[in-house]
Amino acid sequence: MMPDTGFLLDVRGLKVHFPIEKGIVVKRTVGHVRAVDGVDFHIARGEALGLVGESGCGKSTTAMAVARLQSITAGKVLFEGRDLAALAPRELRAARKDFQVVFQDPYSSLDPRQKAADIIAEPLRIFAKSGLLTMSDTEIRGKAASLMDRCGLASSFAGRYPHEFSGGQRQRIGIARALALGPKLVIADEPVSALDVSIQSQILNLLKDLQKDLDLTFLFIAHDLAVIEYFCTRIAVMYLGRIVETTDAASLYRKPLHPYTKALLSAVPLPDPVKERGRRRIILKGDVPSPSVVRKGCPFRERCSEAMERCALEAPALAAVEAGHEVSCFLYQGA
Amino acid sequence: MSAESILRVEGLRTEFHTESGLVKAVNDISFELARGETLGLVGESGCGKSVTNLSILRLVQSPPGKIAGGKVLFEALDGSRRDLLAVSEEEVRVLRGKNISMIFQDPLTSLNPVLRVGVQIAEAIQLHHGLRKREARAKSIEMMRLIGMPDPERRVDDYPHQFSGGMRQRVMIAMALSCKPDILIADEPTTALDVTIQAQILDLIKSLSARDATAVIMITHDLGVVAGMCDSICVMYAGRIVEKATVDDLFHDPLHPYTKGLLASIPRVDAAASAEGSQRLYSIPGAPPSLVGMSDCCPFHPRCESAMGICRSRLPPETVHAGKGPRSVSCWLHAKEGR
Repeated sequence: MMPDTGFLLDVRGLKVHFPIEKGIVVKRTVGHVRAVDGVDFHIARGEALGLVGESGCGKSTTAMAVARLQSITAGKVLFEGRDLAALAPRELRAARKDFQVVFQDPYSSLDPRQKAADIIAEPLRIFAKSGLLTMSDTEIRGKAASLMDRCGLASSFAGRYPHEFSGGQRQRIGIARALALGPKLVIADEPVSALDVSIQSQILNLLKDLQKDLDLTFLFIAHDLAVIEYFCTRIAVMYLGRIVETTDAASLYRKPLHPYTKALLSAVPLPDPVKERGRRRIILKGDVPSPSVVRKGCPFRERCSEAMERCALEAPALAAVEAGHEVSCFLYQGA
Repeated sequence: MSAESILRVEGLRTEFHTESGLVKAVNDISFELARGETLGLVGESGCGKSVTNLSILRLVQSPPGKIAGGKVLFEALDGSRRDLLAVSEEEVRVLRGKNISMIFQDPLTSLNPVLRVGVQIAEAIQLHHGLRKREARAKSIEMMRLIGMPDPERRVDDYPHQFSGGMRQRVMIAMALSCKPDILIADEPTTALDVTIQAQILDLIKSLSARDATAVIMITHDLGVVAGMCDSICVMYAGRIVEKATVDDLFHDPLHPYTKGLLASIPRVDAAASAEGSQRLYSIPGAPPSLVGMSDCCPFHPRCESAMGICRSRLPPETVHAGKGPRSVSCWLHAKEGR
């Protein structure tokens, strides 16, 4: 067994590769999509770590791998010192109580044929049925009702079906369901990106309150840097299956180091016309390269304005530049 | 109609007959677009911003949709003025693509998957200017170079699926601008794109519209995009325009409670660097109303913290206000008469 590092979640060398198969009768693997290609991060108790990046960078795959909803190619996912990747199915099921997921799409992540209260109570019923939890049906119903109340859903909504709710209310149901088993870690995969601005802030505030009141730890995935910065205490920026920079939320905007982080920040539109006019944008050339090509060197080098000879030869590793600020770029690593 | 104005929408109403009742998706909307101006139409989903623009081009599907009233006055360069809602279908077809063109949110579904992009880019210009095949191809290549497509001579023969999302949106822009239109309507052009690609596309729209003095109507839910792109803004809520102002006035001195709430509820990436750093976000209570059977009261009153008695019974009039530029607001708090 690994020594307990004191972190609630400690991910080491996580890789998730998807095989590319060819052939109809006889399938052969012709390559791999390296969705997550060696990711290390950790989350301390009570912290909210934000994983940010553009589509296809592997942030959701990382989240699903941590939640064990996606099989892991290599690496360790240490939850309270226990490797989730190595657990037997039975043990894993019991362990799931401690980490729950809030999904992006509140439309497709709720069973359309179950009532709201039943959706929220389902995790409890499953655990009670398999003997992992001793709770009577009345207790379960009471718990579901209090969860609804906690998440801002009126008790009169208990008997309604998902289609009778708005997007924001549906997301509240999803959050109540994730909280049913009293998890320590909540993995939120783009929980507000399908919502309108005025609803988005309601949900963000709800999640913030819940985090404070219930002592939750968050792994928060989003593509919106402003949302991440608002919600999270620490941020990890991903690019092409790797983490390129991690730092605390307050200093990300003030002092980005990696050229990709800089470009990403400069591309985020600011709701302030004066600042917008005075801004110099770093416009990145081209698109994100394909994650199925095996590459030598830094994954960002083709789009980087500061690429050096060395960047084509070897890939930089994530290294601390100062306390709590890690970056994987040769600009900050002495030769 | 003022001298430099190119498009004026007056009292536009678009309705949809649905099973649950009559939906007034666009409810008495008026605004004016000046030549070369970039106007932002901002609002949350279902506020009617897209339907407004489909109505301008008479692209609302009927049934169930119906343009129930209003005028869309388009003034061509030669000074001739036409109401797009009154002219024949033939005439509108001539205008579409040539004088007014549109880019949509999702470039993959708006491009024809079985036609080479070069053919699609040239289609409008072939139709409107009667170019031959070879000339059209050359024009396509020229447009693709203009939008920053690498290796256009080769890529002109590719199909839409061979392009990335950002490149597809560039193709859409090339298509829309091939005839040098007077007005470009961009309906959430970057919503489906990543933020670094969004920056590329907005940059492109900005520089190309400045080059040809094209007026742009930018439809978006993203206030950040508006701040960087637009000269003036119309904020829409529940089928109505609630506030019109120049971009500086709107962001620095919003008048309507909805605009205020909206601006206060967006997280800002530069917040941590400023004093109000870890402040809690404001959130507008409740959710946008259903547009079925809306009565003539202020549509925002159930969510408004400053709602008064009159807000529940009467529609607030549009009141002109002083500002850096022309501005108006539809709210009883700012109304000068009838309180």
